[in-house]
Amino acid sequence: MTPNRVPPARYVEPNLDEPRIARQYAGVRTALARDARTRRLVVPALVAAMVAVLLVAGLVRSRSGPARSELAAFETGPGAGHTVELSDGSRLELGASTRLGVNELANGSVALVLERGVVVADVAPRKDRAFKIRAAGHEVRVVGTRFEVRIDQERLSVSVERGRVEVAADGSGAVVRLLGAGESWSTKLPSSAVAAAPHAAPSGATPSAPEATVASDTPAAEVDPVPAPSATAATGSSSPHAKADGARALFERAQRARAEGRLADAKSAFRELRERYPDDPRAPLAAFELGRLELASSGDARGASRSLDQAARSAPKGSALQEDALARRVDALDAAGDVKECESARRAYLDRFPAGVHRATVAARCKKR
Amino acid sequence: VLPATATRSGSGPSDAALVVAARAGEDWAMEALFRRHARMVNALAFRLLGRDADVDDLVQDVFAEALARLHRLREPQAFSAWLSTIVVGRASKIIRQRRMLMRIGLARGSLDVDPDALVSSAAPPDVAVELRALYALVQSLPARLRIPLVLRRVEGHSLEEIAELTQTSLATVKRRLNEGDQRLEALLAKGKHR
Repeated sequence: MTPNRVPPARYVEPNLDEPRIARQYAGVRTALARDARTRRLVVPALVAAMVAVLLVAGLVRSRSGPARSELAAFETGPGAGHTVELSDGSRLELGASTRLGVNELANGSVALVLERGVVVADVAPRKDRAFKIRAAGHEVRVVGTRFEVRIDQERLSVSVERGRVEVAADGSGAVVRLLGAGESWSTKLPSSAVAAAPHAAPSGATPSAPEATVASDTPAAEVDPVPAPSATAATGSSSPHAKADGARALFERAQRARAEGRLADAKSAFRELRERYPDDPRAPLAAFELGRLELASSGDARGASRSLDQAARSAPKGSALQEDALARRVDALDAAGDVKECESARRAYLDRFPAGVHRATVAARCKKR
Repeated sequence: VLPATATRSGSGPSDAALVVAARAGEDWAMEALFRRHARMVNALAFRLLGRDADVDDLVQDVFAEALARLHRLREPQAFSAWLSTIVVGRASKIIRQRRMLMRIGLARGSLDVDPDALVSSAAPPDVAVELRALYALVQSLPARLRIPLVLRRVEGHSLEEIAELTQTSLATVKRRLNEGDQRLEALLAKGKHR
């Protein structure tokens, strides 16, 4: 196919009439009015919150000696979130009951600290600027992307809508996970981190430095989200209750079990979904998640390799899921020490996704030890 | 109420004049800007998304964003080009979101484009065939490849214009078009557009 000499755009036109245009404009007016109302409400609230927090930060400094590096902070109450727009066009959407500290806000560097709650960051792409969000002993480094960081009860979660982020252990700087669009990662927080978050709020005013405590209690080797599996992990549940639920219920059950740290149940549900509903659109993702759990929780690299192979085969051709599954399979075989199979899997990935987002990582795998 | 002179004929106020008035809070100027550019935005959104379903939401979001941020527009006379850039960014976001939802099983169906419903019956047969083939193929591509291909092959934009619209470098546009072309050729060779 070659580009046409005369652009064929004129032959691809929507059905557009006056009532439709009028409806669209009514929608625009409604959105503009809503935005104006939001701005009127949000700005005074944010200013008040920042003033209050800055005052409290001053108290913390006077009591604790070492000054916190926080320049300012945004804080929301339990009722509603706020949106903050930075001068470069980046947007920070704060959820309810969130506290986001600003440690640095300069042309070449933005450093934020999420102490509790959730923030969705839509970061304008700029190669010359470092954009970081620290949260519960980890640092999320960004280059032009949209992602969410959440501290929720006992877990820290990062999910990426577009672009890429690195999750690194705070302090050591070791990269824990590289996340692409559509990927997410979470880790169970050590008890010190969970306890630290509320104390970081203005009302706490404790002299301790929560970031330092978390970093020292969370070495890079321990940050993986999944604890050891239980003895029932490989039984492959086929309970009548699960059979009656259907694919959707099984998927939700698996996700819930994983979020609650019941990894054997999560694996069992993913496995059951994959086997009982192979044609369901969730089946490839279930196989993929099963492979990730097998690799991360039980170190079952060969089992993970099989699950990821199944995920890659059943995922839509050329999809992000297929790409991720092929890349993770290389990781699994590399972890298993099977150099020959690893090299074969690596070729499969690079042949299919020569410009894939994991190509650099995959290319570095399969080294003989 | 929209003044009768605010048309594209050249007899009405220029985009720059409308932008200045709209910045001052003149509702009629906002509506004039909307009506003047609504068809362009609708058409571009439709061709980028390849379907009608999300066009209304996109058009509303684009104008709401543009009209709320008119103070950021450094060159008021460039309103149309600026608007197109916002359309491209929003369309790219919708395509990515849809691919992500399909990936996790929350969007039904395997096709987000209906090639047969897209192309006008007035299109010459050879153009219609090529357009249907193109849209059947691009839906399997990620937004970063799909958007430049549609801008190039359907809209007929130059490489420099695509770089401006997608907010990327010329080298990136060339690389993505090249990659998109290769993947299209590969898909064509496999007959996957049929």
